[in-house]
Amino acid sequence: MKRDDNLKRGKNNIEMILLAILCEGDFYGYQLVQLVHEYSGKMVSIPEGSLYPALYRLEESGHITWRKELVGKRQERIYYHIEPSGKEYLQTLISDFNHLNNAIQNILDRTEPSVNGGKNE
Amino acid sequence: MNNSTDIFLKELRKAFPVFEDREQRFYEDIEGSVCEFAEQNPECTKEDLIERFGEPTEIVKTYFDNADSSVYMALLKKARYAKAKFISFVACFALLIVMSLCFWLNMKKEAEQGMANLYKEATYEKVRIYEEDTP
Repeated sequence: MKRDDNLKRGKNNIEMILLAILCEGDFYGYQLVQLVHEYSGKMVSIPEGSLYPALYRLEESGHITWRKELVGKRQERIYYHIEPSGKEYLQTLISDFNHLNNAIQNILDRTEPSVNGGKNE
Repeated sequence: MNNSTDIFLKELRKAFPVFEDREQRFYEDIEGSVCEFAEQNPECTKEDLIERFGEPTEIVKTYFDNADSSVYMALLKKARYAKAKFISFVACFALLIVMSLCFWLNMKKEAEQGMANLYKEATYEKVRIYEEDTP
């Protein structure tokens, strides 16, 4: 497996999480970070340096769109919205993620005795 | 926004090795997030911002790790081309200066030579006239 595949997998996981949250409604960047943290029971946090490039990628591929909303007098918020193609892409990402999880689980199931030190006993 | 957020954002801006349109957009987006945080925590210090967002250099590093690498390959190519262009320009300029200097020295030498010849001719003429006039 190439290093690029691992990098892509990491990026895909972030995209999957973001798309899943955007299925609930339109949110802005800061809100997305907070929701990821909250929904994961404070176990997962996506830094802004990973969040925005992922949103730009999804936007470039047409999976999400955005709109600006003025908050107060000066501040603007960019709300991201999932498109139908984004929902389809999310299904693909979830399916890939489950396949990979199953594959990893298979490895762990096979190696479990040696991890516990019980295989040779 | 308080003074800490200004300092933090300035440091973030300085941390970018390149600042094209994409980085400008990212900077504006993260500026929005920093403002949101500062609004929720009006007394936040620079340390609080670092704890929440990470060190500015860390943010930039994560950004480039996650950005589309093909864009940055093109950017590096462009930078290399600009460097080659600059070196060629400097080399041409230096060559032009050397050539001008050589031309000027040559002209000066020729002028000096001309003056010396004129002086010589004038002296011979004087000597000739003197010899003719002398019985």
